[in-house]
Amino acid sequence: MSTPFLSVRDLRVHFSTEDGVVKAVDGLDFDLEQGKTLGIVGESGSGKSVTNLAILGLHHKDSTAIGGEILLDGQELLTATERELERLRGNKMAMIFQDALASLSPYHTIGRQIGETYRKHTGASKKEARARSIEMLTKVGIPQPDLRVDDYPHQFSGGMRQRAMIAMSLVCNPTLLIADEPTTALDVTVQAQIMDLLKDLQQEFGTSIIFITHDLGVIADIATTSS
Amino acid sequence: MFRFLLRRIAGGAVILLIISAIVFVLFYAAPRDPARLACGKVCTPETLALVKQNLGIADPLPVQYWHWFEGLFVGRDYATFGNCPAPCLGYSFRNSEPVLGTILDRFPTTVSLSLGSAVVFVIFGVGSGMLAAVKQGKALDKIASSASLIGSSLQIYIVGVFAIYLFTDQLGWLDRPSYTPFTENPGAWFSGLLLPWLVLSVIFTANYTRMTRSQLVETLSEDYVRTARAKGLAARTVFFRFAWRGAMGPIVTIFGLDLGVLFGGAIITEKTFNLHGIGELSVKAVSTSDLPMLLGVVLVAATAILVFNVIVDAVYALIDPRVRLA
Repeated sequence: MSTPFLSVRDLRVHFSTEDGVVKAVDGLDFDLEQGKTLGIVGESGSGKSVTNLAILGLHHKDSTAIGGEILLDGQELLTATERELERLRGNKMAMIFQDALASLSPYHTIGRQIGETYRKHTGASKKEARARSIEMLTKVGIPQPDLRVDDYPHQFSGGMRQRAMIAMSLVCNPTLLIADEPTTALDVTVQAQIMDLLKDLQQEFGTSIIFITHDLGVIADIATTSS
Repeated sequence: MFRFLLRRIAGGAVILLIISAIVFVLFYAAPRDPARLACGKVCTPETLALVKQNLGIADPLPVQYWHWFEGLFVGRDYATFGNCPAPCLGYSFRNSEPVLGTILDRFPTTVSLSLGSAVVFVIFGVGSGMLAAVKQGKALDKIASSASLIGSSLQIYIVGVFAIYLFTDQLGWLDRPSYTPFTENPGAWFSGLLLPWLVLSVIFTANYTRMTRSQLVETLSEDYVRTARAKGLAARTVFFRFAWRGAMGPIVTIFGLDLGVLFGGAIITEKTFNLHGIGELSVKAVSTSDLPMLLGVVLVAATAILVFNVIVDAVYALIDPRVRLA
């Protein structure tokens, strides 16, 4: 067996609250290999999202105590500096959030939001970033991408927003993609389309995916390993 | 955008018309008779009638209003003062000065006072609110929050008097408040208004600190701010491009309204520092039953608020694309 691409060992995420310490995650281990999909299932409040926010380093630093280790491609993430994490986020590891409307900025066009990730990590020009945004929108199946690129999120339908979100997270060809209930807010047909899209993109780019859901049917469909 | 502005301006004109009519009616509902005041101690019915005739208040109310309204657009002929070209706001009952001239004379003081203090309170208020939001829960936040609580409970007429006593009389750091036109002597303009600016902005600074902080605390926890961080954008970019962008709307709205109110005269500040602006003029117009002056001042104040409202709406559309289509 090859060395795992992402390895989480004895992960503990504890929040200090007014009512004492909440142990959201206590001693979690898992490995994920390149190009595979790990499904994480659990009821609400079982620490699924918290685990993944911790991988990206997006937890609240002041009120959260994290222990254990997270190795991404040999790099320890929990001890990484904010600057190192910035370089990894959106670039090597990306995340798709559950509520695409709330997770996309209402103040910027879809194209700009996709493009700014690309510009940040590749130093591309505005023009290149725009071309890349259109390319990504095409890939995720948005019709008339060269027009829709200048739209704002509120001008997109729910399914299109989630596609745009996926386009945004994949714009730098990340090796790790964390999808946090990406289909929960969508209806069943769109859900199936999004799942297919993720599978296609995974095959194309060889991305490892952590797929969080509370829907076992979805997990059976996509995951190679479940925990 | 153009049609939107046109619609707003037309609506504003209607509102001004209604306001002026209300002032007219209210003025006559008040028990004081301006003719009686102008008539003097020995007042025969004949002189009273003559005074009324001269002041233009002998006619029935709608006719008077019509004359006043007409004067705005085509000018007006007075028996005593001769022709008053459009836009004519009439002559003061109290000192027979043309209303428009008096207002134009006073307006620069009020504008200087308002804009100067706005610069101070926006820089300090929004700045410290941002710091407090970034350092949420830390010592700096607590200091800023308590200071703004104290600041917003202060009163200008206390702070002002105390500040003059301390900084002008005792320490001699600041000049005695006065107004010199900017075009005449920018240095004297600045030093004469510095103390009023600072005092007037104390309460505003406190309010803007609190408002900015609470807006930013809210937007900083928005999902799209988390997304921006998940994309690897630097903390500074996330703060200004995403969190601040979201917090700006309500702050701009309040700022526009505040500026509109200030342009209508900062009555207490002007009184405290003995500055002769629109606010002081309006108080005097009310206390001397000076109808033409009162109407003029009210119109200026209402226009200021309406103009800033339109500006705020336009700026809001620039900030938030979601309101552009509506």
